[in-house]
Amino acid sequence: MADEIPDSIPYRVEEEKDAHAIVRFGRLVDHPRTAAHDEELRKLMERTLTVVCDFGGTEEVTSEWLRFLADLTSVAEEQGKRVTIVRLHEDIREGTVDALALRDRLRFYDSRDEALRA
Amino acid sequence: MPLGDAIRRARLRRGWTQAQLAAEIGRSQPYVSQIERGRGGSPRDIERIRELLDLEPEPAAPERQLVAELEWDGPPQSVRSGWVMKTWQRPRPSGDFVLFRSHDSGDLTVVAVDVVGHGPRAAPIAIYLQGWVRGTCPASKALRADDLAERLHQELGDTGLAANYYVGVFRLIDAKRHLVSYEGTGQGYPPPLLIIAGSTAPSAPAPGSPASPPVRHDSLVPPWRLVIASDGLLRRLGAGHESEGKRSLLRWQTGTRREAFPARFLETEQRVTDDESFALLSWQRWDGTTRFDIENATERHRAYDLVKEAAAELDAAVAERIGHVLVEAFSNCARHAYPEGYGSVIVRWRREGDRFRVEVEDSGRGGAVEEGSGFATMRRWASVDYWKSGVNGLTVSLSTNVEGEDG
Repeated sequence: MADEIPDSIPYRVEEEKDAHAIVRFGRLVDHPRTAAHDEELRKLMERTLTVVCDFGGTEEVTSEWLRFLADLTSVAEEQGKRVTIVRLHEDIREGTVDALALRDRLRFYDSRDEALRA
Repeated sequence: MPLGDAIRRARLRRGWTQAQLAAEIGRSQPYVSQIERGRGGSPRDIERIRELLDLEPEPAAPERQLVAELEWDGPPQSVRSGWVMKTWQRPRPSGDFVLFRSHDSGDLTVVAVDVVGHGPRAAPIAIYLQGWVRGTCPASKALRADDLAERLHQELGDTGLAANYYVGVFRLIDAKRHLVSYEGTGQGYPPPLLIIAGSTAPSAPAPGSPASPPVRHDSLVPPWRLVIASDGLLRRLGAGHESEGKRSLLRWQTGTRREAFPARFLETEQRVTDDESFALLSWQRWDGTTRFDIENATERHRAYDLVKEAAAELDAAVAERIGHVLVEAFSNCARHAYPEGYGSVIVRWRREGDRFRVEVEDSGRGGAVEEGSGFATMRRWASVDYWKSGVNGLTVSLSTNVEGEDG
């Protein structure tokens, strides 16, 4: 089992290969988003074909992270790439994602494998 | 010399960096930087820094010390000034009035009088007394409650009429209206505080009879509520029947049907407008409170867990909704109140019947507006019952209930 993500960081890049990268998010993703976060994730998207954002252990995500991932998804798709959201809790999908009208702009999957196969 | 400058000089004399001082008090370097720039720091931390740097103790400041004690023992008492009406408008001649006098010091004097007798006879006296109170109670200075009551008592004696009356002085500090002390006195309105203007309370002495001494009460033991109710409010509370509204208030005040009434009462609070003639000051004890530094994710997550755990005792679904709300509220604090990346946040919570209420207060930049996706998300999960933005920070109060009908 992968190490727990410390409170101090919102996510950890767990795996990076030519074809894909896996980013695992922490339990509470409420961290102020910084330019360093944005740059790291954008570059990850540019270096690979698919970025899998795994929210399997996440209880909460703030709206600013979801909005950023929606923007990143759009940019990726313009370049023929993909940013996917995996195992995001249904409550967050039904509540926060819908409140922000982001459902159509994010790509949801139930597992990492499914996201990579798609 | 400002305290922040004194701390910086003392620190440099010792050859310490901000980071070293921060380590000594178990805080972050930006937090120390904030203190040195005179922009915050908890009283406990500042006291600790004084000890470490051999600075002189802070000169006696009774009000500040009282606040520090309140913070030590629990949450400061907040008087919600937004609920206080400045005027008491009556549609017809009446023998009752309530005056609120805001003083330059930030204190608040409340004077309520109900002259015994029917409106046409009592109204001229009430009008005269209003002028008298305004003249006697200047904005520049708050009188002692018993002093003002004594003068009012004498003035009433000169009119030859009797009255029920109440005088309360709320000593407040800072923009958040923290209550430091309270003194109140009255006749015909016994504690616990309940005032129903427009009533003819039986305890008022008959005109011309010897007046009974005012009843003095100089402390507020939470939870307390000061209710000043107009006929209109009573009718609304009683579904059109004033007497039923009064009975409802009394039942609530005396503890019977305590569970049933407050929810309805709270609904009433939400409908206060400038032309409604009632006022309410309220403070209830919180079930819990915690404070954390926004830059410290571990503290922040601990606060989240504490509140969610408390909400789970009411209902698991409520806890879920409160969790969603909290992360957005904390995120808003980080983005808007403390864009520099540091500052403290206070969270309070309590159960209110089948509702769970949480308040998130920051001390950062005020002037926030109620818009943006953060608020939209919070509204998705709970009712934003009030938000108060001032020069110093923002307080948001949210609640949700077992049925989840707020979403």
